[in-house]
Amino acid sequence: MPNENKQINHVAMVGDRTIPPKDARFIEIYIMGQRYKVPETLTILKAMEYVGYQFKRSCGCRGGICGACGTFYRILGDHSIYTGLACQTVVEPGMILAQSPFFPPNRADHIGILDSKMPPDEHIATLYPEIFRCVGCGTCTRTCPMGIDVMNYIALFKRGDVLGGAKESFDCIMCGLCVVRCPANITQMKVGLAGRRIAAAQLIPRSEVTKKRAEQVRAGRYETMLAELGQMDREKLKEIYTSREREPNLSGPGEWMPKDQSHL
Amino acid sequence: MSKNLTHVPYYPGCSLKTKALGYERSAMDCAKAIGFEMHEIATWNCCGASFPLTKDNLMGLAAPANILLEAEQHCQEREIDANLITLCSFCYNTLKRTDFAFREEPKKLETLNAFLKRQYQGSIKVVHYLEYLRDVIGFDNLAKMVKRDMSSLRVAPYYGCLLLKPQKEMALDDPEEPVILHDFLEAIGCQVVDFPGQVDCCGSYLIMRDPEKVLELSHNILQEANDYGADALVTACPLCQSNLDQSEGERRGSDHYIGVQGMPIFYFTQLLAVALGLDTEPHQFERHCIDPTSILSACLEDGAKPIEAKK
Amino acid sequence: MQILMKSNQSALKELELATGEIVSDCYQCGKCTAGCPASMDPSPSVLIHYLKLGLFEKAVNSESIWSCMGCLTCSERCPKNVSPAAIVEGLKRLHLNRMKPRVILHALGQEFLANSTQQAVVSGFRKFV
Repeated sequence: MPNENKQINHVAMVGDRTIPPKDARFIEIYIMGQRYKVPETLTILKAMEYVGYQFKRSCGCRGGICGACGTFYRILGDHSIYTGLACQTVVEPGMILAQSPFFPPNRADHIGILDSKMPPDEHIATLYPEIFRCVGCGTCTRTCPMGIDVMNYIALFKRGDVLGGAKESFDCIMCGLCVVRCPANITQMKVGLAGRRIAAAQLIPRSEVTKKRAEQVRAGRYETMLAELGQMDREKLKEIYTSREREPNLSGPGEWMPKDQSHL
Repeated sequence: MSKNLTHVPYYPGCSLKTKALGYERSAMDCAKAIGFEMHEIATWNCCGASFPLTKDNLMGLAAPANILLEAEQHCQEREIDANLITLCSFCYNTLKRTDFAFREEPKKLETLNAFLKRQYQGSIKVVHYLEYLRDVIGFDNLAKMVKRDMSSLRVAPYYGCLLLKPQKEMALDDPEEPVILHDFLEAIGCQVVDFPGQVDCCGSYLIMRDPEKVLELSHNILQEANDYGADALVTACPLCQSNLDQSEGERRGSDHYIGVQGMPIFYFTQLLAVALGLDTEPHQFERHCIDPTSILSACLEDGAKPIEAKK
Repeated sequence: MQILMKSNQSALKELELATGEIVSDCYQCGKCTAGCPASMDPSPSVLIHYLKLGLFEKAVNSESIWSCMGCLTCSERCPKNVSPAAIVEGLKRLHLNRMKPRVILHALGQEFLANSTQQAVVSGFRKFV
């Protein structure tokens, strides 16, 4: 990172090529204790890139779904800790920002989780006994940028309702912000993941449709088509990709069928 | 009997959903037969099981505060009396003492409300199932509903610790010479065996660090009950039940402890279900280490020819 | 082993503030010890005696504090309204704040975790970790 970028009011275009709106107002924010002026309307991630930071970790899809850029911030003069996804949260005046690349989680050994015959509730208890340390403070729930009732799903796992916990934790994007804040050192996101896997293996009925399709795939149904694609050169691939038929937005199930049905 | 069952909010606790499922099911079935219905509050977390004895440990009150808050919302939405019924002694102890702490020191509640970013107004009254039977239903009324002859059962009530202590805060019964379970068992028609070990500790959570100690303490209790001529023990706590039951099961092979052979440990609601003539199939007698059905067989067979009280 | 980097006097004050108990109220009648089902050794009254004598280190390092199971018999019977159970829990807390947990979560064994009652695990984690 070039040094001059650190100075206030110095506009630079580096990193992810942030393009601020032409008549954007500039607001003052703090990044790792340094004061900067950035155009408003930028997200936290873009604002940090705007002043010169480059992200190799703690950023991902930039679409609010991968959970890599979960971030904590404060606002000047406010004691609260706020949370959000850096790629989704728009900067406000007085924000105090930093991105942390990684926080060590506890990941229990999941090998064999799908074939285990242990009752689901006991399985969770043996994989992650620390859930019984939960003090019920609810910090995780208040932290979650996805609005999941994290404490509730931990509570559900504790009382052996693995299916309930799996459903409650379903929206989790594994950003790990709850893990950072937990006073009982629980790794909530991994508990939820294990719970969902156990629920999927033991409690949720298997889909017949998926099974049928998997058999078709294994029987080599798509081998010839894949081989065809493998033969094509780059230009041809680009061409058929751009000219592909697309399902119209908002069409209901079964309403639309492609003209070329040879691959169905 | 009218079909309008009284709606009572209910907090189960973690153990009742897993290891002590029979306790919960029997309690729910009995409630319906008696004339009230227990409704589980919508979202709840573990109460923390043991009330923090150190006064400055506010974090230990956060979980019970959350539960009381949920219960308060539950009651306000339905415009019913702000009661919360519990079954497990640990939950009862924790919730009731939290409630007491909030009433004693409103500052604590203020601090916690600010921390939880929610508003608990302190309206909930925590009630144990036994307390509800005694104070709202009445043991004499309960006695009239009994359908099976239980008089062949010689049972010893075992209170444990947390149901009664500390008396100042729990205010359920005398901690040294309690009578509530005695009265209950008399009401449903059992022969009650009064034995001195009824308020002794079973070893509680020491099972985690020192199972030998738990084995010894549990054995003393069982031995004492046996010496006084009891056929079975009756308790209100899932941990007492499992400690006594499991230690007895474990001990069977060893020569270290001898004397007691196959004394089953009941939840009081399981016996109540038998007395009320309910189907005990879902009450999970099969999960007990010591099979309780053999000593019940007399009562259950008699169930075919119930007491001719109502004719 | 030196757990506290403080004088006995200030450590005792910290304990009293944390538990809300007044150690000097105890007049050593021994009812708590007589009723203790855990047969703690040193017993609750002896632990309190240590505290009164200024032997804080000795009390906080006693192995017996870990065999208390919070049955509250001692607190219930105390004629002076002291709660030995609370004092013992305070000692445990001070110990755990500075030393390693007494129970290692992941060393508990699958069988124990799968078979034990939830409330035992939760309480145990509160008291020993």
